[in-house]
Amino acid sequence: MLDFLIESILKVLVVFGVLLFVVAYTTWLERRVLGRIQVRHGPNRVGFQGLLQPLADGLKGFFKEDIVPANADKIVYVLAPVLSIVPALMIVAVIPFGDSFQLFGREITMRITDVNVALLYILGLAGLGEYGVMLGGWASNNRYGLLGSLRTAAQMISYELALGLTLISVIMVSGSLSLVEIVNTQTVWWNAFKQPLAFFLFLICGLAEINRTPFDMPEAEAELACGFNIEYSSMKFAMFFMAEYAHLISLAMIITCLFLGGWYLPFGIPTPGLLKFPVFLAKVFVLVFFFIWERGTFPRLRYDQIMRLGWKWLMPLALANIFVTGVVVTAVA
Amino acid sequence: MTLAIFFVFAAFAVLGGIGVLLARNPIHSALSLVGTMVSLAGIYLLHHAEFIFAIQLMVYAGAIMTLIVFVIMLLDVRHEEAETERLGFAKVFGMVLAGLMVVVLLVPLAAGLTGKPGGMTEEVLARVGSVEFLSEKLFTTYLLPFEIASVLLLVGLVGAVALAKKRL
Repeated sequence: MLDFLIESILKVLVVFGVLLFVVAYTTWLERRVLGRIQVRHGPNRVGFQGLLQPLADGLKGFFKEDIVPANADKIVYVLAPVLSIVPALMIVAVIPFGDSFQLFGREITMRITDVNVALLYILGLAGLGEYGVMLGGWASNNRYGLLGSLRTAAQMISYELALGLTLISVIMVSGSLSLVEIVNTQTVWWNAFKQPLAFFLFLICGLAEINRTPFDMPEAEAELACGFNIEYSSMKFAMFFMAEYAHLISLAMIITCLFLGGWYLPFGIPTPGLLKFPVFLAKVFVLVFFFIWERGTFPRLRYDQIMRLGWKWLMPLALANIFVTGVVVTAVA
Repeated sequence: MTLAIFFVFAAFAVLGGIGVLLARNPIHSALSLVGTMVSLAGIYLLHHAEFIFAIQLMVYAGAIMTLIVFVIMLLDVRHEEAETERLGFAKVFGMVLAGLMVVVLLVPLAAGLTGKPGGMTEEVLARVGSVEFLSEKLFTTYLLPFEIASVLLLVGLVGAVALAKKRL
């Protein structure tokens, strides 16, 4: 029991430490890559190639004055960034980063926990993650903030449906809700090959769910002047920012596990034990890069376009996909 | 240790419940309710009901409460409307119901807890709470009620759209 506790606590510490580090450097990567796409340099002054920029930003966040607007709802205003970042970090608890390895004669599995309802847990936390953004905009007593919050709520409720429906076809193919088992069914054919439509839909819905361009309606600089986080400053703003990137990375990891075969190479090419974690990381990196790339490429959709896309295209397509998958799965069985 | 965690969740659930009643601001009430829902989800998890835990988070704490918060924000109800001090029918009825609830809760205590272990042991709970077990029961033994419930929900959905369509 004590062994188990110590191992779990160590794993949690390592995973969250690494996650926060990766979050910090994803901001650097995004700014540099966006810079390249927009034919400018991006941050390259602090340290070699601007590598110390995240550190400088963090320090700056700590030392800036923390302003609470006079008519804000104080409790909710302070609570909102916390509500935003906690679920974002908690998602990582069920994600398997690789197989197991031996250390000091103990078998260490490369995940914090393997619950058999991992997928549902992720969906549940995604639902809770909305509160931070919604309440942040509402509590700051600002018109732009409130509009951002309302848009977030509407957008997330709409896309959560399509997201959930897309997952059903993946679950039907894999026959499990546990991420580890879903990964283990993809040793030969990744789910991206078996379920190309689901992969495509999940990518779009995922982007909408984490409020990423082209679905960054809650922020929409041009019309809402940054939306829900307009009144936030210093570390509270930084927490929203970190939550956003934590969501980005978790989405990349979830897609890797669900559709890109986790730590396995495609077409049944055997993956040596040592390569498993690097393979997983490489896939996550490609996805994160894709998310940055598409941010630099696609213009933002209009609010009504987002709603129309979600309800009139993605959801019917997801339903049709479930139907087709059902027919094929029964026919094969 | 399980018991200690249970009491933490239980305390949060009760605090959330009290918060729902006492908060003057509707958003604070709704948030307290979210707290209660999440604590209940934790208690379900402690009892090995993983599926119910996930659904509680997804449906109640996530979707339904988001909608409630959304509506409160849209209507912009900042504070409760002027309090009615009058003892209306609703208040009396509510008090009677609350009293009945207390009686229902106290009766088993008064009858005396026997202390004998029931049928729901740790092993049974672990088996019963799994997704596999639940879905098997749902799609074999309880298939008809399940289908009827889904039709009922669909009727509700179509009805809501039909009612709203008139105003669009």
